[in-house]
Amino acid sequence: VAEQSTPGWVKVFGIVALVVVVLLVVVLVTGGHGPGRHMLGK
Amino acid sequence: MILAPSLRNLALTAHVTASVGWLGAVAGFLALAVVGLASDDAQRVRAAYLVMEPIGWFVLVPLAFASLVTGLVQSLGTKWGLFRHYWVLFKLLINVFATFILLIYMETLASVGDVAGDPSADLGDVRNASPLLHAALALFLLAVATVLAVYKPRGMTRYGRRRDGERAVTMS
Repeated sequence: VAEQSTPGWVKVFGIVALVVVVLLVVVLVTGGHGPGRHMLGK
Repeated sequence: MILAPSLRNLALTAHVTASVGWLGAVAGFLALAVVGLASDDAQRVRAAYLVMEPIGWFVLVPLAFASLVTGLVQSLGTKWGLFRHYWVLFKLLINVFATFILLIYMETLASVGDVAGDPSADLGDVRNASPLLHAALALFLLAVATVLAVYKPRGMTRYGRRRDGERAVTMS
């Protein structure tokens, strides 16, 4: 029965992964990050 | 297709070498990033940022792809499969994510190198915390992938459970 359910570590990893991806998308979309930000006056 | 034991060992050796090599290369890159931020020697600071892009193209990117390809061979050629076990799936996601970010980040490393190579650029403009941050995050991700590979925490995906069920029915 235990094998049929999703293990706790998978749920934790899934939530962390989701948060990281959402944060990345937000940061990239809002322009607060990315290669262009590192170009010094170019 | 399940690999023969000798080929399986060869594939495993290649995968461990590429993956742990990638981890070690990122650790070396992190050391460079620290030198770039902390050193008082202007030439050393510029040199640290100048070598980041070549290290990226000639060491990090090849090791990232080698880790990905050997990982695919290793998973598809063994009982583990690519989508059957959560630990394999998460390793794949970490690898693809880290490789994708690395490829995007190569553009930043090129611009960081351009600034470092410009003699008129102020040392304060040459110093950049971004490589340190990205290398630290990459090191953390690759360490997590290594832990997953060693501990292989249990847990099968829905796809894996279905495949196991189909195999049990076929064998009965």
